[in-house]
Amino acid sequence: MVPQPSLDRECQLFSQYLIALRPSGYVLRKYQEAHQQGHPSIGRPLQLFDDILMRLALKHAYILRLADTYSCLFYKDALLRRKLVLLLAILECSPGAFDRLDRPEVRSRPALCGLLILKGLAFGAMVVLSVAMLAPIHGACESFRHRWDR
Amino acid sequence: MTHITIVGSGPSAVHFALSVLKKGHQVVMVDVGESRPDPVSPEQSFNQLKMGLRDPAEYFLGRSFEAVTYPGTPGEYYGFPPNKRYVFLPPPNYHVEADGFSPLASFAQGGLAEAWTGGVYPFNEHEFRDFPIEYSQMQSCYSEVAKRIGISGLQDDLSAFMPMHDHILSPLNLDEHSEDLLQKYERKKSFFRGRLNCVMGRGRLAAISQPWLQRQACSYRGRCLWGCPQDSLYTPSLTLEECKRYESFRYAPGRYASHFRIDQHGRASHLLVDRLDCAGREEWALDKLVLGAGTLSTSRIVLESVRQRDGTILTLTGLMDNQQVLVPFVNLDFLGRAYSDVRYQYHQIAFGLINDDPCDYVHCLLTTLKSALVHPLIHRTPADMRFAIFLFRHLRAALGLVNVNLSDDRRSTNYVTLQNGDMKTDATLTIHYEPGGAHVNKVRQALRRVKSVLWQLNCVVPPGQVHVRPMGAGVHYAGTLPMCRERRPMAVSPNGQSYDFRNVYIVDGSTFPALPAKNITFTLMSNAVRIAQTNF
Repeated sequence: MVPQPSLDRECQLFSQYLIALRPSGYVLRKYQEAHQQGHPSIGRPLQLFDDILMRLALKHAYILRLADTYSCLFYKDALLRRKLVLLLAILECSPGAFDRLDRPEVRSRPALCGLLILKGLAFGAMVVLSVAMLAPIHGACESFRHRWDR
Repeated sequence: MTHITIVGSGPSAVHFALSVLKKGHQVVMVDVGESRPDPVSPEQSFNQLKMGLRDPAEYFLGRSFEAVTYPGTPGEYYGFPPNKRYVFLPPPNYHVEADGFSPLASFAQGGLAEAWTGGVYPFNEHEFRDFPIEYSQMQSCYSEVAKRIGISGLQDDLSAFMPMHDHILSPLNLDEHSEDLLQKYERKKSFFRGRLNCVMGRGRLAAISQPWLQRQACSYRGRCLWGCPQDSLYTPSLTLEECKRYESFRYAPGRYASHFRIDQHGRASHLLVDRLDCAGREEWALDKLVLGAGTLSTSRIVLESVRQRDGTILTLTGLMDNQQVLVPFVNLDFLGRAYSDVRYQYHQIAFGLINDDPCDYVHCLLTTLKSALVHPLIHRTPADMRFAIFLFRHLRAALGLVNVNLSDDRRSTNYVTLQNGDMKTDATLTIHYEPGGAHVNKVRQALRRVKSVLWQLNCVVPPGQVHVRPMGAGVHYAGTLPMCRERRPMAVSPNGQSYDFRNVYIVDGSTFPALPAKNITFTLMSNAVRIAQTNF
């Protein structure tokens, strides 16, 4: 089992990443509780690449975003992604956090379009970077796993 | 006065029971009867619950976080609320296996309709074409049920496909998004009707816009999906409570009906019932037996009864369900706009796609549901979480979902039967379903037309997001013991009386010989009222 301080740190980093807010005591407690019950890896065997992605993601918020970008396209069922989804689910039910996800940001249509283009370009850049950085590691892990399975 | 034993407490069973109780008959209702939890903080809206509850995550995600939807798990666009899990809890003796079908059964008080979306769409005269009864025989029953449950709606273009009846209350307040879509339709109505063969209008809903029979009007708290805390959205357990007020009614929950014993005259003599508190098996002497347990459970009871009589394992063909396809869309006119979660949540508007054969009508329910958990939608977006959250916040007001319903017909390839049982234990119900030959084309054509309609409403369908639900997910099961005029095995008369067992009546969807593209619950309730009025 992952020790509690590590989970707290993980939860803080992920919460900052998702909604730019430090998690409340309630959110930390629910995140712990879910892990104690086997979430978020229930029914799914962990892979070597999961371990590497998690270690990298916890180093810095920027690397976390790269790892998330890579896994959203090429490794959708990643443990990292599952942890982010678990925290997202907790945040969307939690006082003080849910409105960061729920409440719409109202903007004029030209402003919104401009912002969407900028964010889209940033996402594209992240995809390129993340593939350059993580695809070789992912490929190596997969070939190692296949050899091991044989 | 007749002594009637009813199995089940779903929509058909409770409306049948209420009708015969009103006529002075003695009724016993045998039911597993899982009961619903009390509503929490009824005065609070969906988002207020997140601030007001002591442990909101437990309410919304469940004690074991079972409502969290992870990537890679097949699922719907919004997760099922933990407080509605009781609807689908199976008793230990219920065993089912399925091939090509994802069956859902309910053993809760009120049955599957405890988790319904409240759509009440009467069949029209064309849709009764394959029934041995006419629309005119059902009209007064539709009105009777409407009086009991409270229905809101409006006479508009859709009424040609959903006939009007008495006791329709004024419609609920529209949310801004639905209002916008309806206005666009009104502006281009001739194009929609002429070129797209599409009509649009207000949904007909079992949710009350004004106080009705001691129930409060909808107060727009946005908790429809989570179980209306003030019963403005009708569920059959309300009618069950009404039945319980009759002295001649006895409700027997905690009991699983295994089968009925058939005597030498071909009558059902006893109902064999397993107590779920481990107190063993009971035998209930029968005068008249009414099966209203839902298509799958009723079929199982009939099959098991025949098997227990002489070991014969029958196959009941003709199982039907509505194929449903979920089409999410983005209304471009609502990008970046605010929305309110304090609204009625389900299917405020609907549209129909008209085909040459009126029975091929495609019914589409449109929802702008705002009070669902959002994490399943966010993680499905092909972007990193941060960007996906950004997108979602700006799209939220513009999001909607069309639930496309397609009709089905009885085919011999689709059946229910039994396997793996000895005479001491119940056999496993086995279901087999194969879509018809033209099925894929039918779905494709409907989707193409739905996308055209949405495009004309200035809405786009995000690529790759259409979800064809598995057969069985529609939960409008029907057709295994059809009603027909001529006497034949494993069928019932137009009045629901079994041709095989003279004192057995079947009042649920298993007797429907055809399945139009509509939610059948309203017709189930009305048909049960008709049978009660005709035979008892």
